[in-house]
Amino acid sequence: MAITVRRAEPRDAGTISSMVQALGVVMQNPEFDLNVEVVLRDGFGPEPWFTGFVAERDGSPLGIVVAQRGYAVDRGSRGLYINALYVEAEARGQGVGRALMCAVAEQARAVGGQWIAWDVGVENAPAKRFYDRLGARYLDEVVMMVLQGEALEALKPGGAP
Amino acid sequence: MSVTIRRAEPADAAAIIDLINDLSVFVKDPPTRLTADDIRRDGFGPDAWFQCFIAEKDGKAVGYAIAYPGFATDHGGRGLHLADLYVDEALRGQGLGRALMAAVARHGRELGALWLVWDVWVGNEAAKAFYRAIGGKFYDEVRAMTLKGEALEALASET
Repeated sequence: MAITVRRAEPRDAGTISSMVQALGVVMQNPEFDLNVEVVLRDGFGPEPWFTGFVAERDGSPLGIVVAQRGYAVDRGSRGLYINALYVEAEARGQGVGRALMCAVAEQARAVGGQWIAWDVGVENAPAKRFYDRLGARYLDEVVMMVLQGEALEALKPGGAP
Repeated sequence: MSVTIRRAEPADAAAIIDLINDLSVFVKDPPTRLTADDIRRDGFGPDAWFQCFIAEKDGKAVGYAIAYPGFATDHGGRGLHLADLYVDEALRGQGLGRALMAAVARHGRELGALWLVWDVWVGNEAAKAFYRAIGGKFYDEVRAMTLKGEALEALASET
């Protein structure tokens, strides 16, 4: 069955919370800890602090991405900043991450954003390979990554990563 | 000299662009593509994309800070990204940058922000020293910097 990506809803708060925790395990960073109450308050209130997307197959969540609005004067104003991207271990290599990144890119375009950006752990080689394949480039001076312009415009779902 | 820190107003848009370009020259970036119209559109109103603070000396804008709300899955949720901070070269060392950072920190506190994060160019030693002096710490894994917890609270408490 096909992978679908949709905007997160309040009923996904538990999924988001548990996947953020799982990401923290992968990152060996216990600070990845977002309880359900914070997710509900900051993702689904009248003035949301983030936008989430959920990837699922047959109604089962496979991954999430959490993003927020950002502004960069040197990259040409509006953009989206990705705070967390996670795909369940057993669902990796199937295009789930790429589909989630695509949803973020589409959202960026929809709001007039000209870039998406995120941090990547310097030792997270699989993540770097994944982002490289999306057409992202490193912002060497600050060790961050950004996807913009043509590469952002060109990002579409399709194929295994 | 009388320096004041205040929230920017739409009438400051052109002055903000001038300061952004001064910063671009300082860090050897090309001039910004932003226009005063962009600033007016994105910096004000109920759906603003960023908040701008101005340092003003004798009625002239001599520094600015641009920040926007952020959300972190590894620092407890709400925070602020500092996009830009600049003080006129002739006026450095007089506390204007610190005052701007304090204004940003206070703004963050009002929003319930738990952290303030920004990028610093690896070659900008003066900026690093400044940020360390206000309690900033290197965020080694991604080479960004973050200010949170007690250091943020302390900065937010400055007048």
